[in-house]
Amino acid sequence: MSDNSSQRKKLPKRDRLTSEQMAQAVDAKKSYWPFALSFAILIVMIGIVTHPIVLGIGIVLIIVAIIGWGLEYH
Amino acid sequence: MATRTIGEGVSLTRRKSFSETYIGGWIMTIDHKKIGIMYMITAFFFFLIGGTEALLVRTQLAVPDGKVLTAEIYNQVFTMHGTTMIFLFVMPMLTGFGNYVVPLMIGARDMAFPRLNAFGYWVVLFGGMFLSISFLFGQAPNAGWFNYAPLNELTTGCGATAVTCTPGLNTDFWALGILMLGVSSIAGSLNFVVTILRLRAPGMTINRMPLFTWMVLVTSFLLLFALPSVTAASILLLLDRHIGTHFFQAGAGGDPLLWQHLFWSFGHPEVYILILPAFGMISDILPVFSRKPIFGYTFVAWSGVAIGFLSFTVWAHHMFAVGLPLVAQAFFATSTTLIAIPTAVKVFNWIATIYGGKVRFTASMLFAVGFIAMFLIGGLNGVALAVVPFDYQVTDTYFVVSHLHYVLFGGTVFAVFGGIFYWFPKMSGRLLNERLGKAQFWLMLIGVNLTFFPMHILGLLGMPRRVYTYAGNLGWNDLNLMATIGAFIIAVSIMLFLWNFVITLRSGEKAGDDPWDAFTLEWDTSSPPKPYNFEVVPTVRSRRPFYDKKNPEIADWKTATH
Repeated sequence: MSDNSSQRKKLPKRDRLTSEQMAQAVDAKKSYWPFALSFAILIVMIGIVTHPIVLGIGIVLIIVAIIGWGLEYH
Repeated sequence: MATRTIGEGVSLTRRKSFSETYIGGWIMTIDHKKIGIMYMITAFFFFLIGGTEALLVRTQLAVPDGKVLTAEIYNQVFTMHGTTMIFLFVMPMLTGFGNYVVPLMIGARDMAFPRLNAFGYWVVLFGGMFLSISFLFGQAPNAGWFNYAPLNELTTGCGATAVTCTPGLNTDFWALGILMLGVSSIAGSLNFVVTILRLRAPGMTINRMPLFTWMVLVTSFLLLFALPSVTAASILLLLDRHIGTHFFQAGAGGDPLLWQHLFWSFGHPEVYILILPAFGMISDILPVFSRKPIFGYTFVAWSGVAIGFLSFTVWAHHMFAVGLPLVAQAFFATSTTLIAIPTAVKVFNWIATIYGGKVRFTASMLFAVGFIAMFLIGGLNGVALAVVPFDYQVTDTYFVVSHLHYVLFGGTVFAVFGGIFYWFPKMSGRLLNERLGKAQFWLMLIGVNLTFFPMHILGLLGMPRRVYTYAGNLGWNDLNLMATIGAFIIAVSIMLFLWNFVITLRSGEKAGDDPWDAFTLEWDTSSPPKPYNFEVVPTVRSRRPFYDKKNPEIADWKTATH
């Protein structure tokens, strides 16, 4: 905890990072959970118009995606 | 494989992670610029689908007693044309522009909620796929983009008087698809509101924001307040269809007009949702190519806010023919006429901006000027439709089809192409071919007028909208043929654009960072911009910060009071 806070203090201000640091920071923020959650919603919608089993799979996927998104390390 | 140097002569080789692959980079991206581009490409794909549907409709109506489509397929095609163009082309296209341009314009490094931003895009893509696969089931939505009750119900009436309406999945696809796209719109709108209100560069006060940013902000509020009613309507409809409630069934104590009220209290703000960002684009393009600041910035900005407020007071002008009380008719006729005032203020300011300027007629400028002319026609016949007795005569005729297409095609689509020609160099680093762009503009202008102007006359002659064919002795033949020829001319102009797009990406002229000598901050970045947009967050002192930077001796902040 103390290591983290001391690291944070040492970081330069957001608008003074070098190009390389900025590029790395942006790159590190990628996430597949938005894709996963929206795909799960599609499965739910298809399930509603086709079969309850597909609907059930979609709901499970939604729950997994929400939990995954929530627990993702930022 | 990815290689990384960790010391002198020492390097590590490891397998690339998924996010480092080309496809993974796009799927996992939360960069507003990449998401903006994905929005625009997706929207253009759906534009081609919606356009193909329009060509099918026009081919069917080219001659009397057309046999190209059956009545049922025609219903599906024209319904999906409207639904696709509104929800899957115009809205995502404008959101794409907003995503790409707004953070750059306001000096931000990304949207406020980048993951939510990515989520909004993927929901649009999957929502569009969901709506479109309805054709594979043979049950695409078929009750119009407004999906009126009780046609959208399974049955209506009771006992022996029960009538089958839409028993298939058609309406379910529509309602569920709209719910899905609504989720995306809410996510996107929240993101824009927070981004614009919280992430502006130092010194960029509300009254210094670029006008496109202004209009995206107003549009985002409109979406947040308008979407709940269509969401509620869609849920009530699904309950009617599958749980046995009767919200929209008059025979069981419900009210079909409730659908119209709920739908249009979303649907009319929606028209402004589709046009206000276009206003914003035009308000930023015209000054650059006229070499002048926008005339009457404050009026242009706040007239957009006024339009936003008034757009919630006009919905029942779509319903004059249903038998509204006289007081309601008078109110909605007045409010509809009133909304023409702030709109006319904008048109006046755009013309005054061009007047006396050193005008450069680039392809982008041509589309912007074409927008003003076409939108003016659509706006004026809209004011005509606000006159109740006239509306009685032409309601549900091709006059209305003409009106809405002059606004949405002559207006928004022209602005979209103006925006593409303007910002494409920033996005790709290359200039679209100007000669092809100008040819596209003139073809499109001819096509639009040949398609939609005759529809005024068809409407006045009494041709109802949504009919799949007509008899040959009604005097409508030549006008319908003209409209069909015009539609194919538009298609040729779109093909020309696609050709231009491909050859530009292959071997287009390098654009440089600021090809138009522009005024706003997005041009103060490389083309295309770095992932982090700005190495140093700019400080803003006027409404034209990049102009100030390039012309420090005559900077706006030295002379202007804002």
